[in-house]
Amino acid sequence: MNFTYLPNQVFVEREVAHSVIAQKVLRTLSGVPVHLIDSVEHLRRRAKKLSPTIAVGKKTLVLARHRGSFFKYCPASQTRGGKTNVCCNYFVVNFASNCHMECSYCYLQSYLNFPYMLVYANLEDLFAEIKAVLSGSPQSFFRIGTGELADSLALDPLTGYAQKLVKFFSEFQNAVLELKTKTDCVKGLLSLKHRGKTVVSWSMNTPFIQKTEEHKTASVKHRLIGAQQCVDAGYKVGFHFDPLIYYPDWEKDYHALVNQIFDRLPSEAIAWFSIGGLRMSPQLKEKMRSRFPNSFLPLGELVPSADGKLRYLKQIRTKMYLKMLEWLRERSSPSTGIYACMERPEVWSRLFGSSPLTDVEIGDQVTSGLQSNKFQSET
Amino acid sequence: MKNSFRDKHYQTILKVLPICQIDITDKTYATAPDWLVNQNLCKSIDLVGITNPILVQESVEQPFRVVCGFQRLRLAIELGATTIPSLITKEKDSRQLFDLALFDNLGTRKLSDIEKARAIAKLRYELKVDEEEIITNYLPALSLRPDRFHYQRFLSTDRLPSVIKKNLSSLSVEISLRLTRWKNNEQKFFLDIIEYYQPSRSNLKKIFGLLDELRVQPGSQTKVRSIFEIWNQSDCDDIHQKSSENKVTSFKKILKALYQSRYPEFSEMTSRYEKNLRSLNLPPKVRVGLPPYFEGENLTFKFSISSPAQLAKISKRLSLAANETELAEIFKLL
Repeated sequence: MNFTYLPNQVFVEREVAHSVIAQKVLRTLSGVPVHLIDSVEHLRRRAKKLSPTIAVGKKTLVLARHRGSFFKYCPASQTRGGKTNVCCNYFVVNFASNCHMECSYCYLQSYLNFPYMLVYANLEDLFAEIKAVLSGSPQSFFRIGTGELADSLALDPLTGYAQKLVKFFSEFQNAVLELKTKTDCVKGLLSLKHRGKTVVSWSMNTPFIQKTEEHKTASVKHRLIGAQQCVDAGYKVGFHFDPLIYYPDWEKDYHALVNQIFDRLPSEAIAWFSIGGLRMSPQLKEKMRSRFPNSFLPLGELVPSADGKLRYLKQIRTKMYLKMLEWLRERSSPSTGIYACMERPEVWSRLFGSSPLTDVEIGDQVTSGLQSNKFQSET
Repeated sequence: MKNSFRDKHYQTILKVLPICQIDITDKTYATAPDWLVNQNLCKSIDLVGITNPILVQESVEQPFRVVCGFQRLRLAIELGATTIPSLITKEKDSRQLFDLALFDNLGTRKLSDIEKARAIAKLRYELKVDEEEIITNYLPALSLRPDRFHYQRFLSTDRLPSVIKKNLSSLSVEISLRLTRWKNNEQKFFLDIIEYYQPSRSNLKKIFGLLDELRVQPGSQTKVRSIFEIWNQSDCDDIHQKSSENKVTSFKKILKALYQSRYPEFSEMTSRYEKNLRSLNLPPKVRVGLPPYFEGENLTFKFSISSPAQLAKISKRLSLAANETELAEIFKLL
């Protein structure tokens, strides 16, 4: 399957025009109009005035310098102070923002205020920042993902970003990079020396949900082929059943999906699974209703929870989580981490049979298979 | 706006024109539909007659064309007038005259959403004004946010079927646009219900939201339920037909019935909770609080006492309740 993104135009900040990332993009997209600009600020102002539709905005690619911090706590951890949700000690590196795929439930629709596809081309700054963090805390183990504001691999055929990150992380003992995707753009990763320091993971849903709600994404079958290729190349892989959707055939479909994964992949190759019920802000619900009027997702029994998001009733999502856990535990390896994402402490207790641990303890549990040397490949 | 109006003066002549010399059907510069009536203007004309002349465009061998004052002219005709004081301009530039008409109105009153929508559509489609110019210059003048979202939204509003347009002020732009996704007979049915119950704006939003969300079948992208099916299956029709109840009570029941259809498991849990709570037979002074939407693990018990004896009595009753199966059932819901 070919998921290459093709923009109508590219804007490049002069400051990064000669960067490795920009040069690769411009070489790959020869023929697409390119505009050199002094700063993205003028695009930001223009976007505010013209507010292009989400779909139109995505046809413009912007290469810019990130002037803030690349490395952050996962936003889910922000609710931790008030003990709203349990956190898994996850960190994110925002190398890009926006995604050209069109999942009806994607929170970026109501979250981003810059409508264009944006890639930060100052890779050296990103490396320097991560290096400082990892070297500064050698005793800590970091699980770092790039899939928060963008798909980790969707633009890789254009930018080669993930390839650079994989090589970079292979040098560190106290971190693992997670590349989270809904594509099968793994070709560029297969020959890299990753030294077990990268986990390639897929956001998974049932074929029915993928077809009806995850527009422009790779099919479940192709995601699994991509995962198989990564496993063959010595990577560990991960799967995120998030968002779990409650619909009449959910039980049959999710069970089949879990089995499909284990039928194709050796359980020891799976680093972690996460589960998380559908959730959305009220603003996102409105956006979904207007952009995807036939989607039934915003019409489930979603009720407001303490962090302001709408979620399925606790009884519904707990029922789904318990089933998922049962099916996953039946076939997964003891070293595979399983956790719930953005859930309340009492739900966590019901699922895992104990009071939630600290963020760091949960994070360590999730990455236990990776922190011990026995699973690290020397590819 | 085509040019700045600073130091711009239109050459006009004031005359009292026979109404038969004015083309009352030409709505080139009108933004308000005929059915939209300005009640204040009505009263004023009825009491003191026309105090401000209308503005008309003179063209060779053509009747005069109205630029500003459509409502004044219409009301004058309704009141039996045969002449009307008019300022006559020979200006030919349609864009200039449209601006004049629009800003003349904006200077004296707030335009309705229908008028704003008409003005934007006329600027774009009839006067061929560039989209960016409309967004940048006209939207702020119309008290709208200058962005493409609002521009598109008001263009869509102008395309609404007239039956919805006529109810726009009570429905709101948001609901009106969504209502267009319904079938014609469903739209009419909804408008009839609204006219009958006259709900508040928030209740209107609630009933529309519930019906609109219930249309989409769970687990299906293609099947849409009809509003009539939803109405009947939720027993709303029975409630509506009951003539013994007043409209406020009936409307509340209709909202509740639709809510139960929209949130069946939550409604069922709520009713189980209420049933178990009633069975506990707690003293009336004790108020039991449930975490909102069962999201939480704690119940709160609140009471006030005026004597130690009362405390002892309540404590005893609560101790008994602690062993009741009904309380255990309530905790199972959390």
